Amino acid sequence: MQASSAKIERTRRWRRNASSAFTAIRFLAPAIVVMGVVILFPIINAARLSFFNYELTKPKEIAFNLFKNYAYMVQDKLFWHALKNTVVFTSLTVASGLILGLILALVVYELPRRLHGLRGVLLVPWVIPGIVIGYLFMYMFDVEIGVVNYVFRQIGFIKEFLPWLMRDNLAMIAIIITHVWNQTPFYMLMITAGLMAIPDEAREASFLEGSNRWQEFRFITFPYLQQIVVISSLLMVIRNFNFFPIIFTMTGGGPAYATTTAVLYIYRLAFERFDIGYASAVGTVWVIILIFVSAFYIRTLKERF
Amino acid sequence: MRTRTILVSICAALFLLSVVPVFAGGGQEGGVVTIEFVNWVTAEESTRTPVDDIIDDFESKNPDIDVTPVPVGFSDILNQLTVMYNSGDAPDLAQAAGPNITLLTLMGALASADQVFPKDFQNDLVKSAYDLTMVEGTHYGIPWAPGPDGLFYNKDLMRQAGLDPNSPPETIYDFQDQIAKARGPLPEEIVVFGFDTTVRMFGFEMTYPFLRAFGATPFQGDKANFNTPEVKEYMQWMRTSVENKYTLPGKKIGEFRPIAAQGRLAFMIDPSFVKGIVLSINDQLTEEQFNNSWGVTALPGDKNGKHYTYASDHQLCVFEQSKHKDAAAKLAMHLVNSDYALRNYLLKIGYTPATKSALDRVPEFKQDPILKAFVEKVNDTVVKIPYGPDYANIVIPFMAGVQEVITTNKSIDEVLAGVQEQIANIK
Repeated sequence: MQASSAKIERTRRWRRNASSAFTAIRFLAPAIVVMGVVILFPIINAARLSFFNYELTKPKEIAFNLFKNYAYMVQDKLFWHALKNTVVFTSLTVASGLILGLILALVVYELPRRLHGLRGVLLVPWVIPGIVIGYLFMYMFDVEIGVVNYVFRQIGFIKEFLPWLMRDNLAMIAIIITHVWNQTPFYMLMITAGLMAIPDEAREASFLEGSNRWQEFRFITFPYLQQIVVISSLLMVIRNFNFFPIIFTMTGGGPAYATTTAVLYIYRLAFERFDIGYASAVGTVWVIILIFVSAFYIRTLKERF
Repeated sequence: MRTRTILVSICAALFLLSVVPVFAGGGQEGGVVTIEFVNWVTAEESTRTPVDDIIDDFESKNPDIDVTPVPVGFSDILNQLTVMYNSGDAPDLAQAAGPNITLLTLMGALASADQVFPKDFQNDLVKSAYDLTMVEGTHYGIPWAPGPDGLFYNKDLMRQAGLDPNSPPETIYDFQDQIAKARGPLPEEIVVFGFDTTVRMFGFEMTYPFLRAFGATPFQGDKANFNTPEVKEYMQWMRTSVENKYTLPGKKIGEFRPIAAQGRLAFMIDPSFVKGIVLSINDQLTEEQFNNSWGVTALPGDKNGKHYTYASDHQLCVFEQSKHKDAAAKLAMHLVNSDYALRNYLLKIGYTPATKSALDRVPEFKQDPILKAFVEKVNDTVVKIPYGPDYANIVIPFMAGVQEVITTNKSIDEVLAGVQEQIANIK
């Protein structure tokens, strides 16, 4: 009798589980199908093409070439140069954006309530599309008509107009400044959310214990913000590794290859040189790198939340 | 049950909506054929209205053809057409320039001219311009608006700089001399000459005649060699020109046109149609003022006085995948040779016509002093660039090298060795 009721219970449980699994599948199916068609299929196809000699201008020479594209990549100086540029661009934009975002969030948080609307204004750069920002700053940094040169000369920083976008070291700086302007509000928003979650009692207690402003920030505020800082930075590392519009519009990767990042290099290979096979190989390696960064991000997310 | 019925109905409706156009005959409605025309002229402010007007004129005369212009920027047109063709969504007709027709033909994208254009129309085309669309002995497009580059010189600024406007530079060495002399007396806001130094195929097209003027012949059969003393001399000149502020680095040629329209450019390297563009940018400037201020001559020649130029002709090509090749060819012929297009676009903007008969039908072409100078001094100096399947692989690294020279202090020898290494490593 007891064995029979246990069996019934097991069957019920199995049916319940099966039913909820089926519901989950039904809800997830459209998203999985769309992701499969729009994201997974192109990735798999690109990985397949990376094993081919596939140049659009030489359709008769399209052939399977196993690892030749990958072997070429190893000795391709431009690939390594683009990789280096990506790391420099990503690390500097994330670090600068984070510090500025933190400062802005703290300053705005301390402002009187009636000035909190300022947050909305400060968010504007974040909502402007990258292409528009790229064009805007391209003209601002223009050697001839750019306002940046004009202002710098007026205040005595420079004696003559600088070719910001046409000097290898200056071009990267100009792009980083532009990108930081664009993404700082994101950090500000995230950190502000973190600041609002800090219990007033904790801060008050710290002041009552005799902490000064810096000590309160160092030992109370910052530890509360740490998780948000880590998560938002990692998110932006992934985003900036793939960043395209601002660089493309401002410099197109130039002068020469001074601001060519990996995604721009892939674009140039595919749409300027029409070497789809090699572009796919570089793209595949890039996906693998990003999978590692994303895995690290997801792991951190799981551990901390 | 009811929910399921609703869902099935929605799916069926969506299916029908997606399938109906397929069976409607790919854009054919009630006998009207719809053709897609990818071009950059309807993307540009100065040419959009006149070209839209020609299309309207064409549609009114051909009520069975509906034209959908697809504006794409000049720099993006080749990659857009490449993507469209390779995804099986090629347009019917497209505008092209430089290596576009060669590269699209090598991809197998284009229909040959013999396939789509009548013989008498082909015979009427100006041969030198028509032959620029030839790939391995077959024409794959037609010229629309021939545009070899000439040297425009601003006579007022030449006088201001102490130069004789009746003696424009004959050789590259005269040119070097004149731009160096002009920099001093001219105010800082005046740009001495405009030059395209962008890393794109078009940047190279503009560079090529100047390389030839320095005696460089980088293409020898299947090989390309840029590591030569002549190319080095060219690179040194570019570096000096940027360092001494004769020109602005990294600009597209189109970015110098507004400067010309403001009267701040002394020498301009551009096709004849630049007049129309400059006039459209500055509506205070009259055609007469332009003709008085600007003179035209051939691009600076080599030490022997031989001139070279590149023809940035606007061309038209019909796609092999097009289901309406006849309609596309009809539109192409209307754009090239109809009286409406000749008078309201080609003459107005300042192109020379692509057909021989046009000169008789529209005699005003012979009266324009700029066009006259092009016919007399420039058109015969065109040299064809040997485009091939590795063209982009060769010229993009070279143009990146040019930018390296004008934006860094790296030695020119090192830059040229690097360029040559990249070319040698083409897969």
